[in-house]
Amino acid sequence: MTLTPKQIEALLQMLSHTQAEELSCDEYLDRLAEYVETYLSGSSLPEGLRAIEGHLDLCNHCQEEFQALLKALED
Amino acid sequence: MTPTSQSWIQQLHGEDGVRDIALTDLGNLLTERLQKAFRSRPDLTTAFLDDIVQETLIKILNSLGSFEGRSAFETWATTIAIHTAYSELRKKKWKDVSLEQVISDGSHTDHLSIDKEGAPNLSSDRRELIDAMYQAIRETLTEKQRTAMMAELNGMPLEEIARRTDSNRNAVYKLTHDARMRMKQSLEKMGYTSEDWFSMK
Ligand SMILES: [Zn+2]
Repeated sequence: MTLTPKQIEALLQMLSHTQAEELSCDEYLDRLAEYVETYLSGSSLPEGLRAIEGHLDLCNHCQEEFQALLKALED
Repeated sequence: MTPTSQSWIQQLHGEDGVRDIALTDLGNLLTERLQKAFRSRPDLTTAFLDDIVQETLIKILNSLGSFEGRSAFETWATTIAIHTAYSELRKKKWKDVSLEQVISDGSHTDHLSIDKEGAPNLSSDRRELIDAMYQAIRETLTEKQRTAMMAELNGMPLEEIARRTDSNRNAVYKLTHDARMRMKQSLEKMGYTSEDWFSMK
């Protein structure tokens, strides 16, 4: 197996965000509605929602969906 | 739970006539929100968005019990609609790509592959780090973990990896999470911490 420079960079990025305790995509999705309302209101995040940000740093697909969600909820 | 959310739930639990009106209203709201979300995607047809809305309404009816009122009902419904749309788009996008293809595509076709002689610009530190990465992949990952991790690295969504391995998204997540943890620990054991990774070019 050979990794390209791009893959090596991507893998290191992934590893640097990796933590023993993190949310899976499903767990993230369960709390997303609550998170996005807090996010849009500009109020500070309660402890329980911090992990959401960690997931968004790590997961491109959930990040992509989050950006679309923000557009959907625009006034 | 807000009065509005409560009223949605009541109506969706209500008798046929009441429920149908609520479903129509919710469908209209979700259509409007999906149109906003996908404004920059003129390639998506009205028929596609209608299908997504219908699929979302079914999911919502099946999971009303899991709505706990921690957000507005409309927000919760919108997250389901957006996720349903993206799942469908990804399914279409990856339809003709096998797991084998996605794993091999990124590696053997790329001429920039880092074999040790072929990369004169790399510092010796960086080269050692890359060697350590290969060693971690070889020695600490199972075949399944390697496959899932490489597919993810090459952009395949976890749901699509699951579809091709008779698994589900959460199980694939656990597999790749475990793989990342093992690699990270293995690199750290060899003396490479994440602070070093990006300084070694
Ligand atoms: Zn995710």
